[in-house]
Amino acid sequence: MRKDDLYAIGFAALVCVVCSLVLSATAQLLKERQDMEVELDRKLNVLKAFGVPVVDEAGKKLSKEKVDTYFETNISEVFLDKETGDLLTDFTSADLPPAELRARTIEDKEHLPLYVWRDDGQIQKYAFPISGMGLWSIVYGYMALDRDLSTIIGVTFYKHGETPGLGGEVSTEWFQSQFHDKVIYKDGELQPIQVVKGEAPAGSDHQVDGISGATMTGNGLNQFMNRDLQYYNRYFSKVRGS
Amino acid sequence: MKFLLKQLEEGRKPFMPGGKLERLHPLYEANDTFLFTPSEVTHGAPHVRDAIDIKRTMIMVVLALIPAVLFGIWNAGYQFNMVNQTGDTGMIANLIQGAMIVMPIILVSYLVGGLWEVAFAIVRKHPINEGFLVTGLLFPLTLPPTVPLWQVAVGISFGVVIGKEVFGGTGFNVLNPALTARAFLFFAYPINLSGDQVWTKVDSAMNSIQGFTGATPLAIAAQVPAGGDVLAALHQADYAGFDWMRMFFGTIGGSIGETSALACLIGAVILILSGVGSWRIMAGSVLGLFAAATLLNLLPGEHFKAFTQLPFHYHMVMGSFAFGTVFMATDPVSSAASTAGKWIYGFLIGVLIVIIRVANPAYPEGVMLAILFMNVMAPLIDHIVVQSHIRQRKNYLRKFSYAKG
Amino acid sequence: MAKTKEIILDPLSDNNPITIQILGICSALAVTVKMETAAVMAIALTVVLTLSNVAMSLLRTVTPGRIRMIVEMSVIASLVIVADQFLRAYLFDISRQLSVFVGLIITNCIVMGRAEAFALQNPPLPSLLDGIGNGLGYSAVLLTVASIREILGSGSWFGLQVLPASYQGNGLALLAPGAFIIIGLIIWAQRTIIHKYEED
Repeated sequence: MRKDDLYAIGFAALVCVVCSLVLSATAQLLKERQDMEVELDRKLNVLKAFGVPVVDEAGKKLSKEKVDTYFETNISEVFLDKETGDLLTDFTSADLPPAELRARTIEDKEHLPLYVWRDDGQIQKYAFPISGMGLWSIVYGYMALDRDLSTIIGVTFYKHGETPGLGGEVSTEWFQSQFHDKVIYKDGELQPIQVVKGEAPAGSDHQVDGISGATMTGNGLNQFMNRDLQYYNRYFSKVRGS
Repeated sequence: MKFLLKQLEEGRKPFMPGGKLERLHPLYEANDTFLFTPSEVTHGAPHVRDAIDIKRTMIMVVLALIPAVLFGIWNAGYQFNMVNQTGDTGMIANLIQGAMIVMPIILVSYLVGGLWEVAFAIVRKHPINEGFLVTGLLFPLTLPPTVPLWQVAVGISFGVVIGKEVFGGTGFNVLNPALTARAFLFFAYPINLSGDQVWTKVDSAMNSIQGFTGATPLAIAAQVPAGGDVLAALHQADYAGFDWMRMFFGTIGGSIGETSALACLIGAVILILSGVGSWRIMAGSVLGLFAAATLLNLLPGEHFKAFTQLPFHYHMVMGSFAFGTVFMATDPVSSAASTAGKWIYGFLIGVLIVIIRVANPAYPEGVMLAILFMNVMAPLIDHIVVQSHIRQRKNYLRKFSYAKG
Repeated sequence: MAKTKEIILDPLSDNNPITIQILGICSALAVTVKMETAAVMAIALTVVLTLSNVAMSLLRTVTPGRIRMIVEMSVIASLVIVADQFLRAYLFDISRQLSVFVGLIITNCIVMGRAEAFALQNPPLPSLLDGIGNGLGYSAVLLTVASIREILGSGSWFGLQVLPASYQGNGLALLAPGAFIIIGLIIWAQRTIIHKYEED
């Protein structure tokens, strides 16, 4: 082996070592803060579904301290068994298998997260994640129900890849606010929530206006919102019964 | 006649090189050649390989468009009167009502597009492109009667400038300018143009039909679930049901010029007889549509969307297939130019239309997208056709020389 | 120092990486829907480009010619990942909107192109200026495109409403093809003004 070959290999190795040192150092240093941001984002979305204003008038997000206060005093996260709908006691997010942490829709999950809001120990509201295919992409959101488990407090969609101006309107205020006070449970059975094409009939308690030009996105929402509701209803029906 | 000629000759001077209005020569030239056969005919053969000049070609297209324009005007008025139940659906009342809706759209298109044409003609010092006579009329016919006028202005500006002038003007454009303009509006303002609802002005002050949604036949067909009966769904829809004859005559809501397959058919006859429009492209497109639709019909209907079961002759009268095939696909500049190329180009347009209509969930109509896509492919098709000809002849020559040797 | 001025100013117009050299188009299409993302992307690229230019310039005498591309890639990739990590930690919302495009700075031809074309032949100080200049040239185009797209498409600028609420957003401006057309128009306008054409 020639001398300059050795030099080239040695130089490459040195560059690699230096680069990897720099990278692992940054990753290590920033890891904590990154995890905190991801966690904060998740909590903010839950709060938004519960109807807590997460952005103040100046457009500034709720601070981490305030968010954590809500989660310490009011909100607890529990898990349900998907098949039976039983409340899993002693199961926390730390017990989730890695595959489920990456799960994008309810179909890939075995343990369903449920957020319970208590005021002075009394259950007031429930929230849970909903997600599924819109037209082009998976739409992610949360739905919050009142303690009667039939009235919707709020629905939020926070992440999607739908066409801007059409399906992308799902993340706008006017669309999401329509879900407020809609009824999902009536006369002893689940009532499907429906995004209609065009305008919803006035006074309907389970239909909302569709987004013009985005019928397919609306159909997607209808499909996955009601599917997810059915899974969660396995638990809710037990609560209603007791 | 002599008088007119004399007037034009007199007026020519200031516009000629050295004259006061030299920069405005294109404007003068446009009037002159519009009224009289120009002294020079097209040289350099841009696309129409014929002895007549482009202006006469374009006039034939405008003539062929007249049935569609007149029907479009009447139908816009008819739909307005029917949906709003004005109780006044006489021929004259419909025409007047329709003209009030349609004429402003056509005027804006000609006016704004014409201004761009003149501006570019003056800056680039070339004569005004005759093709605009056609583009300026084709574009409004592809729009719904409810389109806001400012969108017409924005659309035609885009079509003329980006669709044509940036490439160097008529004869150099890759895409059909009228369709480019429409595609721009389609993606820019989808709410006004999305095509799954139409497009008849519903006047809330009037006694409108309750629950009129204005879904187009294509949107209705696309929503029938697997195993459903697509024809029955069509026949029950709208205030009078979409049967084949009604869609053929075009007394349904839709874009101004596209609803009537009959009016387009008359236009097709004029274009083919005058030799201006290529019958090969039209025939190829019909064949392509027939092949694709019939193949889809063979799919088991209970597993696939009911739309796949729609017979081809329904596809032909629905949406803008007739209008697009006759007037858009045959645009001599943006279509394929070789004989075999025209067949291939037309056939693939037909196939693509059916595929986009049936398989794509987002776009109810595929004619515009299919034609634009094939516009882009046209030079490639021509290239392949020419290359294969060269290869064939070479082979023939080789054989010939072997035989001799 | 006439030369210094030239190194910084030249890439802003006469030798702009995007409009004249047609490099880095991919990210110019993807992140210019809003000013916010475009600005962060512009800063990220300028920082990475400047640092990589300086690093490559410092290494230019010791790097063996045969493996210089691999060394360039390692240095650039490391810098980009560091930048991406910082964005994730401190600008979480924006980094989510930029998604993979920060990572794709690695494949952005401008960075590699400047390292190859300039930093390997010049001392660190001019390389630093060259990095800043090209970064600014890229940023100028990115911000122009984003301004046009955000104003036309959403009627706002940096999230502030600038057009009346009745303005109907142009959906095409929000789609990638719209950015393509806008960049084309900018190139057209710029070349008409400075009279620089491919054929020259």
